[in-house]
Amino acid sequence: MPLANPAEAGHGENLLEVDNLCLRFGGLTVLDAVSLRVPAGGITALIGPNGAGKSSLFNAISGCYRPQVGTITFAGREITRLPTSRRAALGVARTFQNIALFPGLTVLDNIKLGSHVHLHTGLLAAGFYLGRARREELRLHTELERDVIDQLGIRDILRVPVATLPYGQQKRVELARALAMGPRLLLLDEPVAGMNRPDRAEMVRLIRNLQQQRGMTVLLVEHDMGVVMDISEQVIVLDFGRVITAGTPAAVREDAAVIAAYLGTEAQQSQHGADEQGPS
Amino acid sequence: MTDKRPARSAAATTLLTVAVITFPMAGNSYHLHMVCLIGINVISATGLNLLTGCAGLVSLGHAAFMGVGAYGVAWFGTHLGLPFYLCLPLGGLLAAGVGMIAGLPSFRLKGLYLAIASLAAQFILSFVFNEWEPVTGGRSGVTLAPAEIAGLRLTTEREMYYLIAVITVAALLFARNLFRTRVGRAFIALRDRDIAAEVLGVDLRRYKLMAFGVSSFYAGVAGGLMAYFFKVVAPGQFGFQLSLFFLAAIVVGGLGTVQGAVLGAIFMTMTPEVLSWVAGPFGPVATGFLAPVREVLFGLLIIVFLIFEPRGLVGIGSRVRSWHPRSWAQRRSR
Ligand SMILES: Nc1ncnc2c1ncn2[C@@H]1O[C@H](COP(=O)(O)OP(=O)(O)O)[C@@H](O)[C@H]1O
Ligand SMILES: [Mg+2]
Repeated sequence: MPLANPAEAGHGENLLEVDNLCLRFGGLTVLDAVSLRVPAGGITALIGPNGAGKSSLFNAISGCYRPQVGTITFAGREITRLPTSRRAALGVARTFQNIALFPGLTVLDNIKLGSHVHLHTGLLAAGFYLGRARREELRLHTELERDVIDQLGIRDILRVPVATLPYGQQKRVELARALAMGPRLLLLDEPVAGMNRPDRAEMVRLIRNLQQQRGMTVLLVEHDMGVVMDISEQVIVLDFGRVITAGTPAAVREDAAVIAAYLGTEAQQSQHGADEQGPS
Repeated sequence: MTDKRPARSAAATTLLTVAVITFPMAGNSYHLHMVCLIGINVISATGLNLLTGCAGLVSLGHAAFMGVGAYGVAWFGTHLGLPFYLCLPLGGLLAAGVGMIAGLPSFRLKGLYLAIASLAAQFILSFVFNEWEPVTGGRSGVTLAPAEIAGLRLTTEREMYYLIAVITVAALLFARNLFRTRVGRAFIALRDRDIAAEVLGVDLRRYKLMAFGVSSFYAGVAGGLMAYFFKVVAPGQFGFQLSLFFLAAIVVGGLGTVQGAVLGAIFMTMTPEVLSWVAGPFGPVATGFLAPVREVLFGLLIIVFLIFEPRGLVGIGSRVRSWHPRSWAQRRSR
């Protein structure tokens, strides 16, 4: 598939390219000609004040929102109009700002759903549950225990209904479910919001380790500038649906527009020890 | 829906198997008649529970798909001369096909709107049953020859009993197995949060159609068995009241669980019987009063359970089981 602009595409170094993306709801422009590049491997942070359009951008990339203008290119393939469920198979995974676990399923089954696209059992095979279907389930179980469950330290809660879990645990389970997709691109929408400081630090370390071990690409939304500066190679700043700057954490920190739009208020907040950022 | 205690569940399974096999020797023909009806209703309720309880797609037209199965079986047998063991699955497949078409609105509609669309399917199919005389025999319906396996004609209740028992067990196992795999997980995911399910790669349309298909297949087979059981198929059997009956069964029994469909079907099949035992001594006026009371009762049961015990009889059962004197003492000492 030919790329829209080979010169800009950086010869396949970018896993994700967003070009001139516009998203409107009625008269409200939520994304206004957004263009950005997410290089393969590493962590890119997406920051910006509440209502800037960060979650909406994630929704457009994962297929929940349909932008009116612009293109989204994933691994050299345009996915702008690709049905949502097909993007999972290509390797796009995400978590939600307001946790979206399935309350009717146990923790284990929630995580197993992450592997849905990698499984093949159809209706009849499932109902008879002989040979192949059974083997597939058992193999899935061992693989998930080894690759996901133990790493996230959630073995003890596998049989628990998700609704009874505390918030921090639910965030973990949602991350586990996204990892079970074996993604190439992992979109994390405020993965440590609402957590206390020690939990946050641990989660950040976990994300870092997972990203390096698996060589996947992470794009995350985060408010805590300490966290952002700490773990990201690239920072993209969104404000009122526009990208106002993008670059290394150090460069972005110096950018006057960023300070005006966002960092000023954030810096004040963290001086006052405001730990909990109210998620929108 | 998995077995946590293999030893205990193996013992229970053995006990149940023995009970099922020996029952016809103990029960009289009224008992057998009721148990056969329960079996047929369990199959159908399990189908509806897969669609409505598990996949979250409300259907008020389940009885109509049973009707499709029943008329289908009669037609395949009488007009094509097919043997019983082909007629029954074909009746199921025919119902599945019709059910999937009736399920198409679920691509666009949810909740109440989908329920209304399914109600339309119920009335359209009822109309067809009444009016398409060459196939359905119109208002008087059609009769069919008894089922026949390897030269053995299943005419009595006792003979039908074994057939129904085997198919009921198979239907329950099939339903339970679905929830060990990605298919069952996808059903529940699309019920709980369809957007998140899609992001995880669940093709919603595919699984909605699958849910309608498998649910109506169950209905079709149950309808087919009903046809062989009564040896007559008439439009009045598959009206809206029967759809309401099954909706009440899964709500009362427990939405989304295999046990729920079983308990609900038993409860709903027995309730009118118990009522008529109670009303019997009060003479024909009291029994005459029962018929309209039944529908009211079904509606009331749905409402009462939805409000007070959304998990149904299964929920009550697990609460009773988890109640024991020690936990009660602990609660009091707090
Ligand atoms: N489905 C929607 N319909 C209408 N407006 C929306 C919708 N989703 C988001 N918005 C609007 O888009 C803007 C950006 O929201 P969001 O992407 O959630 O911001 P952020 O995640 O950066 O806080 C907000 O003004 C919000 O009200
Ligand atoms: Mg947001």
